[in-house]
Amino acid sequence: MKNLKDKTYKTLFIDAVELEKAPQYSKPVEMPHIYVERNTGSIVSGIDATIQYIKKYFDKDENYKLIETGSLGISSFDPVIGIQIHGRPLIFFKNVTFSYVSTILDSILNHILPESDFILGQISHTGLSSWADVPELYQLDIFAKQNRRILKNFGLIQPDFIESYIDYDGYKAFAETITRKTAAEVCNIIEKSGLRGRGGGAFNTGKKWQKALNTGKSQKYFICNADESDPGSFSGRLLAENNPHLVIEGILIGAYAVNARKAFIYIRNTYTLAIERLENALFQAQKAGLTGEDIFGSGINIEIEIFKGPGAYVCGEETALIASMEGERGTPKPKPPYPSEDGLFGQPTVVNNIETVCNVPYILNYGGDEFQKAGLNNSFGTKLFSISGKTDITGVIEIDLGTSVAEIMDICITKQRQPEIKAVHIGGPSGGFIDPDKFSINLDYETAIDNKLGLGSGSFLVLDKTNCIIDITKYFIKFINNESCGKCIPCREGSQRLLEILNRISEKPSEYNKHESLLRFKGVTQLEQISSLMQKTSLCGLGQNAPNTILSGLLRFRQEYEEHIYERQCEANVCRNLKEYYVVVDNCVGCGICAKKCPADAIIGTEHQAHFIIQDRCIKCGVCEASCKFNAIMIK
Amino acid sequence: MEKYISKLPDKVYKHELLSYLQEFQDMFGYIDLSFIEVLSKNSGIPSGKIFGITSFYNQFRFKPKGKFHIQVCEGSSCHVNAEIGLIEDIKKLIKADEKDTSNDGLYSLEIIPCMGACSQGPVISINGKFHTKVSKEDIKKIFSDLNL
Ligand SMILES: Cc1cc2nc3c(=O)[nH]c(=O)nc-3n(C[C@H](O)[C@H](O)[C@H](O)COP(=O)(O)O)c2cc1C
Repeated sequence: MKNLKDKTYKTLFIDAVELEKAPQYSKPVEMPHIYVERNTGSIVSGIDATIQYIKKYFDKDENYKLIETGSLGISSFDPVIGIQIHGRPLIFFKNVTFSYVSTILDSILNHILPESDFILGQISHTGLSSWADVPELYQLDIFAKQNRRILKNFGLIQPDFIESYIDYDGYKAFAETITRKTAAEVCNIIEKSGLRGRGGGAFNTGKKWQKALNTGKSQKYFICNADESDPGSFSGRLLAENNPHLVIEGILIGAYAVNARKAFIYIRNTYTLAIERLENALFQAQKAGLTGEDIFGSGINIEIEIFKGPGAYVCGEETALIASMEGERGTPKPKPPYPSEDGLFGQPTVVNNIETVCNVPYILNYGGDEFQKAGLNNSFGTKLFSISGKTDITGVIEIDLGTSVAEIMDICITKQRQPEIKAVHIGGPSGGFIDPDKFSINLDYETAIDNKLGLGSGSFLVLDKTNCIIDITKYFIKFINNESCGKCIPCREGSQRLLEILNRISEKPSEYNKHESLLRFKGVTQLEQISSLMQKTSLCGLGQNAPNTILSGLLRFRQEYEEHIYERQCEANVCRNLKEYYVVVDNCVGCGICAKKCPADAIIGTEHQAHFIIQDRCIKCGVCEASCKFNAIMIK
Repeated sequence: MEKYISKLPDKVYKHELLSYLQEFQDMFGYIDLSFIEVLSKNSGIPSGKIFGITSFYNQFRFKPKGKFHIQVCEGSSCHVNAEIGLIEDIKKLIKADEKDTSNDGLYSLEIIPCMGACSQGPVISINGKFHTKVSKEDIKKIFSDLNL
């Protein structure tokens, strides 16, 4: 075993990588350095065109350096570019679509600041003369209110360049682990840190590892679960795309700790860029001697392979995931036996969520005590939340577990706009709604469960008055119904019935008879019954947690359900099929006011004759009913 | 396609099935039933079972892609920001359902759980070109501008 005592760990692979090549924003530059943040979100927002225009701008002039980095995490700033010129610190600009490239470059290269709309912030450094009146990037509310441990240096690290990761002390934890610690020691450190799985189950990671380590079998597997198919959750993609080496480092430590010689990254096939970058990173890691045989002279071999998940939500569940890797339908199996005893090809297998894995290097670098400085109750460390919906800021943020909903709201939406917010849906298909009265609750695992919420993989969907609770519920139940694997009856049939009931109460009755009305009214009680049955009897978390959305909705927004059922009223005007407007021919004098006011041009007719509403066009806004002076517009 | 199929090894293991299917679809855009027959022969697993496994997963489609392959994001952020009935409008316009191809072979539709651009929703992509924050009006224009 190589001795690390007097040397820095970086000497371990000094021959394989060219560290001096990594650009460092803290040092002065000669020629301009342009950082472009390329990731799935920014590609959609047009970063590739921006890059093209930057190249065009410099044309034949080769005195500049283009540096492709990952994302800062906030996708509503996309496309983001950073510029560092001679004597000045790195300064970031947001929403730089191609048409603004030349304006910004023209001014900055002449040491003049462009329009402030684009300016995000700078990273000042001693020896570099800061830009006047430009805020510090990390002092902006959006970053200062986070606790960025995993996301540290995101936006500066170049995902395709191992030197860049190592330059920010990457692979330090792994190098020191494999050269100085035994597997059992690593398991103990992780267990004591209190790290719990971020994939939804919240099981103590160290305990899981110990169990796998202590099984007698020699062949073991470590799987990083990067399937992430919850709608509204995109933190896993962010990690894999923008810092693939962090994921690999975490996996290497995990595999070492449980004595697995083979590890897999199970990632969704649609995550093209993430897969590309992971493949490249694995290639680089192999070249640097971080994977393969006899790593750093320790005699230990670890190989990592990517498995592209063919896309089924239920394959995020660990036993279903394993089934799909074995070439089967991805359906869950009853536990026990747990995968840590009987997993892939019958061998002990540890499955860990990608975010869990990314926490591991931090714990080994800074220790369990430092790790526990963040968190609440029994939930230690930080958690990534994917913020989306009716917010000012969309993206992934990292905050202490146990942060309150209100504090998260303060990060992603201005105080003035907060009163418009009606609800937050937390945790995706396994989570639930929360209303403003409850925004003070803390999001640690236990408090969340006490409040009928699951943190899931951390989706945080903000809803305002234009969103309907029933509609969002329908959206999630439809998702569950589509993705239910069909193996167990409570989930397969239960989700179907729930969807039917929700459809029935959000549409007008198909027939006006007593039976139909009774069915609508019975809806609420049936929803509750079926939900509790599904919770108790479903085989896996998919069916067990699916009713959370319904139950939390019924608990906190019962009034909205009742409005739909009794008054056929959808406050948000989303459930437009609840009613049908029609003209009472006998009352209509043909004044034409309604036709003029109708925003959808849905009313036709000639003057002084009864008018007519074209149902296909009608958006059920009710303007015609309000404007008619002759009671000629009615609802059915 | 025949050339590819003929190169398949004589012995295919069960845990390799999905990788072969993925590779096939990456190359040809869909799963041809003849390929399932060959996989069945080489692996000794009944073709009905392989078809069952294949159809279980969202990734695989059984019809060739259209001239315009349309991907629509159905993530929760796109859902709450979209006009009501946006996806239905698209289906009507192109006369194709999810994982389906229109009869004239022009359009095929794929619904994606999340395209990773949640600040830009609703997002659709046509042959890889993205359209962001699309309204029902935009959809009409985008499709009428397509070079059929
Ligand atoms: C329906 C369902 C979907 C799941 N999806 C995921 C997922 O996308 N990613 C994930 O890491 N875990 C998912 N899980 C949890 C896994 O079964 C498993 O608990 C987790 O990967 C273990 O890792 P952890 O201990 O690091 O959280 C899902 C569970 C269920 C029941």
